[in-house]
Amino acid sequence: MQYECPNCGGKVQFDSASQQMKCPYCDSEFSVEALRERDEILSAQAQDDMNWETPETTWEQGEAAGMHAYVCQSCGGQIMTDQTTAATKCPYCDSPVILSGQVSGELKPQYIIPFRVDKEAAKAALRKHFEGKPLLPKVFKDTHYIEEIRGVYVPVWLFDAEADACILFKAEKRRTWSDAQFHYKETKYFNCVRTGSIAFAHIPVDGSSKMDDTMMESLEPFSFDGAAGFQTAYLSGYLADKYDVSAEDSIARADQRAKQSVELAFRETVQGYDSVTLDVSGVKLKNGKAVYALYPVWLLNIRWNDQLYPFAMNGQTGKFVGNLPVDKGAAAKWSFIGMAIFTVLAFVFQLIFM
Amino acid sequence: MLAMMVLVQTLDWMLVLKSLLVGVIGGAVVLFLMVSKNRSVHAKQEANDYIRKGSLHLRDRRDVYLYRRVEKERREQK
Repeated sequence: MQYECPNCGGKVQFDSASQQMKCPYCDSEFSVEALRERDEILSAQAQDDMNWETPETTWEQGEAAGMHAYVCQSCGGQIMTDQTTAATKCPYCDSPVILSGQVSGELKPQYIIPFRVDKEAAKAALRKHFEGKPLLPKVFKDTHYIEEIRGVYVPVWLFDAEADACILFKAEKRRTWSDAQFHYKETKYFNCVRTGSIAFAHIPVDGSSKMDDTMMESLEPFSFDGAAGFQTAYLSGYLADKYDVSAEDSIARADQRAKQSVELAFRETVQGYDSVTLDVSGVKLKNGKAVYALYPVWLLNIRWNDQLYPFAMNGQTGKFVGNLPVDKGAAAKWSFIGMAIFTVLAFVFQLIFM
Repeated sequence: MLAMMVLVQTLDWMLVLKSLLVGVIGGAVVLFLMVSKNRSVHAKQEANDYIRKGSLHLRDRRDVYLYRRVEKERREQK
């Protein structure tokens, strides 16, 4: 049986002089016991096995009575609202929408987080978002479009899961010392095994292709404690998007985030080392369940210099996000000022201290 | 004019170049920090906000020593 060197991957051999296993490529030495244990750990790694259960509840007859469906003529997005609320523009691309009929026969949301932050708070947050941004073009701050902020319920898939993981980390401890002739640097190498489980609840994944996934993730976290069983009455005064990305297509994103969190959580239990890096990771997800819900978001699009700038606010927590344009002239000015200040400081520092 | 010529001849140009280099780096850092204030949309790589509290259970926790490496460097003799 041949072992691989944990340092460089080469085949290690028994060195009779040191009575240890030695790598002929990097000269590292290991005890047989340590190599055997590492080999056992690698062989026992659980392979990823993500299995999810997805919902099947649909609107029952008459349940969606009074709900209107609209279609955007530009991006094809479908939104719905109650019969007392009129939709005229697509909340995603600002193009006109037309009434397409009643809502029926589709998957019904199971939960909804009602809006907690009102439109006035959304407008105030937008104004605040523009403050303290010296590189923001002045004309961009013209707030005449602020009234066009719209409350939209964005469809999301919420994933619950339990993760079982066996993760191997490489860790190092370093120390230095000196004697009369030499400076010494010693590095000790370890394998750290962590096996265990961790559970997740309501990982959200954006179920609308029209809502930018990155923007939706920027608005997090959403607290499911504020959720209620879905009723059409909650939609009154707001728009609601319909999902067009299936739960099956959203699973990969939930998997990716869950796996990353498992690795981070286990990594935090490896303590007392100068450096820790991930070596091998095996995460198995089980009892996966997905539910369909609507999450509240205030949306606004600002068109400037032929480019559309979307802004969004978490309708539950008030968190506001949106990338702003950069005024090239202001950027050049501030770069020059910064450069001048640092140049003068460096010049004076060198004159005084060198 | 004479004063300028004297200044050019006596100035330590290496000092000036180093200062300019620091200035360019400093200017770039200032620009980066200011542009980053205009950016607030970032993907979330993890799902830490959705971990059930108290659900982390470790069944096996082993730290196995593998080997050590010692490097040495001769001290400068004064």
